[in-house]
Amino acid sequence: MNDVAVIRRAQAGDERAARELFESHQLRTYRLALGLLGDTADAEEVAQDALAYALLNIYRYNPGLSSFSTWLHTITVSRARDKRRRKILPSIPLAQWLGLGNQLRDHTPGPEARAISHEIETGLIAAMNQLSPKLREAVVLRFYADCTYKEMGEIMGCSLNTARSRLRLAIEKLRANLGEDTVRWLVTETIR
Amino acid sequence: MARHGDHSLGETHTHQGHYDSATLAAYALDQLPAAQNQEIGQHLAECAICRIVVAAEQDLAHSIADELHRTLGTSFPGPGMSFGPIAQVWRKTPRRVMLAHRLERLLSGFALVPLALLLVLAAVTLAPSRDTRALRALNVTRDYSGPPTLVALALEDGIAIVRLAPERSQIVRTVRHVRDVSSLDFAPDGRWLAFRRGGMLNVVEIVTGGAHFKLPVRAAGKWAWSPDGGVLAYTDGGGQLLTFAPQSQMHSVLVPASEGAWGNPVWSTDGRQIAYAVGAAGRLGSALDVGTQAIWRVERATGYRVEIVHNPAPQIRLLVPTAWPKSGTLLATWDALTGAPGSRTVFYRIDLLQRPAAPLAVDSLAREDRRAWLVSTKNAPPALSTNRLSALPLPVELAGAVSTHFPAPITVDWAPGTARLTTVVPGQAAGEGLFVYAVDAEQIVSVPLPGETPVEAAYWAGPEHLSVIRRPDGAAHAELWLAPANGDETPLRLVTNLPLPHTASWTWRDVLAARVIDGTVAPLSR
Repeated sequence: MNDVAVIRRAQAGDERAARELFESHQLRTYRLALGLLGDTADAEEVAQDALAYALLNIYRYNPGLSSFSTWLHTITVSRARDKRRRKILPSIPLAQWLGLGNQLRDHTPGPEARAISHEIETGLIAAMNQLSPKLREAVVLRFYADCTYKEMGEIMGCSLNTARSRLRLAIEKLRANLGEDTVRWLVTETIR
Repeated sequence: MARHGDHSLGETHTHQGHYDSATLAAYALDQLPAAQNQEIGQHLAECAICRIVVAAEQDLAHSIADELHRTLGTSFPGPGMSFGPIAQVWRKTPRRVMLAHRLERLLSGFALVPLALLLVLAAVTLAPSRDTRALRALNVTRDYSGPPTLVALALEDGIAIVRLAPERSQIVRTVRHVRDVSSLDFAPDGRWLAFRRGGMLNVVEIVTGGAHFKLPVRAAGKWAWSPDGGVLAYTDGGGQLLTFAPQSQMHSVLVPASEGAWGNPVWSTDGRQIAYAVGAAGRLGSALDVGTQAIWRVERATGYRVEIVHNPAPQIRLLVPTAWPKSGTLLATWDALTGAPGSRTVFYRIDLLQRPAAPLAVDSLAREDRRAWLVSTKNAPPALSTNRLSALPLPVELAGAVSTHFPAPITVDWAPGTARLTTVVPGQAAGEGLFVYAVDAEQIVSVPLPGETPVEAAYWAGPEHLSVIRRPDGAAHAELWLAPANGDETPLRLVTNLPLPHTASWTWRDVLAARVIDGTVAPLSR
């Protein structure tokens, strides 16, 4: 895919080029967001938001500063952080706020919901869920997005050395979270 | 915590011959500097234990990567993720695109050369000229509360005519790209402005801002507006006396070049006749040599010419008309060969009925390069007598000065159509020094000015108003004030930073002109 030519056309206002870019980066952006957040609905929302921002502001993108992927990843990571921040803010149901009663809706998924849940339940993802957001970003960017440490620093907004430290710390924590048996199983599965 | 490889690698490489687990983990994740990487790589070739630890770390990293790809790779976005919403916003105008692409589009539609020409033309047209910059730099009063007044200002590269009025002040006319102008002179009705530039007498219209006439004159050419402001009489420096009515563009030669008219033409108070000097016998550097010298008058309507007085001694005397009293029977003249700095100016009284030229024992009242006299209804022109301002009855050939005296002025200007003069007297207290002398009433009125800035010159800006130039000592700029002649109203400061010309010799007439106008005349009443 010749991203450069397509990007130039999109910067010139070509809608078809923008659509091409959307289609070529949709899946990867969604999966990156999913790796960062661990929830499919959140990942979809963040990926859509990141792509919309990137394409509607593509005139701001400077190919001389970074690759389009790095730029898009930066936006995605930023949007994922926003999403995570919003989710941890305390909220009050509207009904309660309006004083219409104390019947709060139960947000716990039922058996059916649990069955169709998109939560990723593998051992690794479960261990990743226990990582801090920044360490999780380091793992996903390095092992899923195949970013270099330099790119990781750019995307996470930190220095190259900080990106290295975060990854090393993340692996130590993953090792601790997974347990020796799982680690051995993982390695065996990979070798097999 | 079950740490892989902790069994023997907790120590340093130098102590036990192995690297610690943290270093090996960093190596496995490609986190070490190149030199250390190479060193560890060499060590790994020989050390099986460290090699195993590194392989385990690398395997874990690969495992994490593979597992992530495998897990995430099976997940796909739902229908909520689509280009549709983006496309809706995308189609809204204006779409922001990069400037480079805008130019690219523009260039694809236009030929490059015409576009470049357009840009150059726009730059030339829109770039502020030096004249505009100078105009912007002028500090013209914002809260003007006086009568409607026109002010013409000679700037570095043009002339700006500003109309000041209480309701709205504005620039009504700019004459661009004219340098080194001199002798700015509004017509008495304020509709026209005359000035000299090089070998041209320029007349510009102020009412509609359109007409600009250029009349060729030599350096010796002089002019004067008729009392009603409708006609300009001028000598062209080549011997002709002409009139030009700018409104009708009527141009008439009243005196042919062969007769050698020169100097300032002097209008009779009714505007029907013009007195002028003829013959210079080469004394003024003119090519004319008619062998005689005289003063003549010409009727403007018919061109009928009559000699007023013949100069009996053209080698030692050069008679020039200077004022024509209302009675019409007397003419004041002076000898242009006198009046050099340090010498006494010789004036003459000419009886038009008997035509003798009788000398008067008074000194000049300098009006810059003119020795202009306006004579009162009593035929009493002011003059200098024993270095004091005096009134001199003209009907008698030699008369004593009137009783009103005050020290010799540094500038003098006569009110148009009235027998009043304004003078600036040096050495007065702060805010004083500006006087108006009514010749008929033989009365001197002091016009007080606020502040302590010295007065440098004063000119009539209309029948009842004076334009006053004040300059702080040694300053490179001056102030323009409008003061009422009767001293009843408060003087107003119009401009605070009048630029001074860079030329060696100049007068304030070369810098500005001011005229209080009839505010009802359209479009001057805008």
